[in-house]
Amino acid sequence: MRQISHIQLFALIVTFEIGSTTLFALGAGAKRDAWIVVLVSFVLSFILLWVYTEIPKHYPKQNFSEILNDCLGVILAKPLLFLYSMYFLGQSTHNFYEFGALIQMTALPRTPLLVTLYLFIVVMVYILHKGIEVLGRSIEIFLPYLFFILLAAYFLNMISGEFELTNLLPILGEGYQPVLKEIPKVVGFPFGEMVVFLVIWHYVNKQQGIRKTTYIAVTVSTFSLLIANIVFIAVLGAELTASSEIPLLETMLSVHIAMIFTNLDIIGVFIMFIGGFYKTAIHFYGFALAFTWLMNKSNAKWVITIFGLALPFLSIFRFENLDDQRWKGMEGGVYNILVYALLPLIILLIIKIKQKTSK
Amino acid sequence: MIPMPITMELLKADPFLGFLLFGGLAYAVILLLVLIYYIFKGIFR
Repeated sequence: MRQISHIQLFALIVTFEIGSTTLFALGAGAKRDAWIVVLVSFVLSFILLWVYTEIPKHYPKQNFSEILNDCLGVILAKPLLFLYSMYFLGQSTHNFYEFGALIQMTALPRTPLLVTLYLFIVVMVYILHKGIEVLGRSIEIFLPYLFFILLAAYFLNMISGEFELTNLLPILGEGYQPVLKEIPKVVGFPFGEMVVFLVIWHYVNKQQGIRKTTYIAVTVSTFSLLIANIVFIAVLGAELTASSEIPLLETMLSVHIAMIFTNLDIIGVFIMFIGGFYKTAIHFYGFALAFTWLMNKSNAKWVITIFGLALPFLSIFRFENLDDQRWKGMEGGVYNILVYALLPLIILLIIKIKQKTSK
Repeated sequence: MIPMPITMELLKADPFLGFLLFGGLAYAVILLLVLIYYIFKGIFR
């Protein structure tokens, strides 16, 4: 059976969490207190992560379909698996369209969106055909570059002269209400999206350390998101950060150091490209696996090929433009994620009670 | 207080989202019923 190491799992989680979130100012509704929203949501997300990592402890090396079949029975498990597969497909269309549109906007403005999306998907289908091992190994190679570039971007912003920490003051100036309002959204996106890893846990070679690796990876990625949020607000100010389409790009464009370090938007594009690719790939792989199990097959290659080649059309059909995608994603999408992120909590309770009563 | 900005306009514009949202909520209710069943089964065993 194909397996991934803990380092590869760590790399997958970090890239998945950082993925599209560097493009948004998370918790922007709380304006200058957005970083507090991220911090509180991170603490709350530990409960969700505990639930997600508790399930494989009861069923080590068993896939999500087998777990559902065992605890709910086939009749209840199949429709749930179908819903999860559709949810993963929906998330992959979101990520896929968003990154295609952003790449088109920033790097390839004269290339039709469909061409950009197909260039993306051909590579993705190829990697996913090779399996989770290749996905894990490739991100293991890219992650140090991603980290280096992110840290360089934050550092250059801090020394650029535009960095004003006073933009973050006063802390909780508008009370705690705006912070509380934003917390459910940020718990859903990006932390609740970790639910996709339920279909991946069984590939990890040593099942014992899954929780530890997940907690470390989420802590590292939250630290990065927190710095990103502080940098965005300190450089752009709370108002501009909230209204900006891609705060990362705006922030990078404001760096001018000695006429040498300037026009650094290419750094932003690199971060978008790596993050977007892997986030879409993980969601799409989650869909392919769930759909394959639903059809009682063992090889996901046919699903990856057929739906992979249809994914650009599905994405373009679902979203008219980037504003439309943001509207559907940020208005209703986050609550949708929250629903699917909380379902495993009930599943875990069923598993626990069932095991207790059978003893 | 959690704001719920899910409007009819949004659900009409994205029926797929509506399907996922209501499907997920319906399943949450079903799973809660299953959970209650197992709790009672444990109590009255």
